[in-house]
Amino acid sequence: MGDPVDALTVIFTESYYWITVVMMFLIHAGFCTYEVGASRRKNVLHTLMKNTMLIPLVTVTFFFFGWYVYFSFPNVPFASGGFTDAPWAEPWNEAMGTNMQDRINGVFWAAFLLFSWTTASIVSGAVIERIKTSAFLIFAVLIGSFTWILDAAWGWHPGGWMVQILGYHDAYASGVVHAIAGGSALAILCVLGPRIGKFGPNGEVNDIKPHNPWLVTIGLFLIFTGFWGFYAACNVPIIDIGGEAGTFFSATNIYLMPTTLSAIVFNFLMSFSGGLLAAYVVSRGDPFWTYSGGLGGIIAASAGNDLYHPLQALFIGAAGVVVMIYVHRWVERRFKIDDAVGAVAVHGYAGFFGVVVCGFVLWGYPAASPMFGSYEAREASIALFETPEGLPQINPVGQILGAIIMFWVLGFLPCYVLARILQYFKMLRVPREVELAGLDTHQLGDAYPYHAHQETAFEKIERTYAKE
Amino acid sequence: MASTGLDSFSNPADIGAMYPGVGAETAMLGILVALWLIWHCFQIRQEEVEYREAVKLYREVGMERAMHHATGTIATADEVQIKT
Repeated sequence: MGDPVDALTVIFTESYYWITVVMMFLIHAGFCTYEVGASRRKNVLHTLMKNTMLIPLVTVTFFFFGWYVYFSFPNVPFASGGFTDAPWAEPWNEAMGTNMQDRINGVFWAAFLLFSWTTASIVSGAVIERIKTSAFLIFAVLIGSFTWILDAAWGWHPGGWMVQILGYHDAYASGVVHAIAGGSALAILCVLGPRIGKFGPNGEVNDIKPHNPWLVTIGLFLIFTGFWGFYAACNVPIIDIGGEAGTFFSATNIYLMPTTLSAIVFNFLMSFSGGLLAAYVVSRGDPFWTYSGGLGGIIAASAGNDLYHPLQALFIGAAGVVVMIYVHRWVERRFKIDDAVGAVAVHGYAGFFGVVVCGFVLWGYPAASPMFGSYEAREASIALFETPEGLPQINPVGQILGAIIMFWVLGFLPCYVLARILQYFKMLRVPREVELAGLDTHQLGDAYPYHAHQETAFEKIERTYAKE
Repeated sequence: MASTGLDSFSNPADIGAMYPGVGAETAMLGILVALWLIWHCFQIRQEEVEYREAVKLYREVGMERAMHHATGTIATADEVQIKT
């Protein structure tokens, strides 16, 4: 790095991603806090450790193979191109360590790793209070180090086949992170079943209160804060996008298409506000759903928040949250799905909605950088829609197909199969007696030994199940 | 002393990998992959043993008492006895 401008650009980029990683740690602190708050007193420590231990496991497996998957799997499965060479992402490569000739690989790896933690952690909240830790940690590795990063190779990598052929656009991961996590959580919940007593004999839904609503509140604020880092990490901070027209430095989205930090600040805050406003009204001021609505609003608008007008972001965030809450209520009653923290709703339904809506609102924009226009699938002219310059075009058909791939194909399907296998070997759910007594009770003990306990309405219901 | 192959930082432009054991990455990786899988095996076994003991205890003392125990209100004497 002898040239001062090159050195500044590289070291600025290195520092930029480093800061996003630090900020994204708050997302995980928030998920831990939120989940612990949402759980009952008898499950607090188990819930904490289940979520915490995904951190080291996803980290080491993302080092082993996750990072390689992102760069090596962008082609159409079994159809074109095969695996792409990505020596810098091989876990035995010298670039995967302290190296004076590569300052970006580590920070970029870490930013993607934090996305991995987030994806796995979203699932963690849905399944609290009855899943075995061992089962969840296997799911965490599958989701955090394989399925999500495979969908990123297909739909986030600028040369990914979904981007180049379908014109798939998902700038801040409505589908790539959130819809896949929601689909994964739904699959596990279908096999795992509800917590004992959640649904009464006549199908009534019993409310299971969080043991600490203030931890839930703080957790969601930490997640909101960490999302600033998440959004920034989805951008490339500085790159020459001028091409033949001459040098023009800009920030870009993950597809190397132009956007600005200002744009995403506008849209982040407006979609957040739209979600809060809508959720407050639809839920009649319920704090849990209002806070979740803030997150749902961001997620519903994230696919296109690089290009939306702030008022569009607000409206899409609000609409996504209305859809999210009504679909959640219908699924809960119709299919008896016990989503303990609303993760399938906030991430799955809102994410799916966001990907689809983006296809209509941004229909016509180029989906990927001209620098990847030579991708072989593009040369075969099999893209669904093209811009006049022959680039893949954002379109509703591609987005609808993309949402289905994210939620159902890469989210629901692999986790459903794995859940069935774990269930067959009795590795999925804790024994009934352990669930009733509390997952902490035998080994870890009461998390609040100095606090008196008053039996809740739900615990009275639960006791009737203990007598069966 | 580990052989790093690097004993001077005087010409940074020529320095690539800086960690000790350059060339041994594949062996290190193989060991760590094995440890990762072994970790899962240990964790699964520990959890199964814990729940097996818990179910045995709860059936002995009755679920009503076990559920009270979750709130820290019941002594653990018989639990200790079973563990030993």
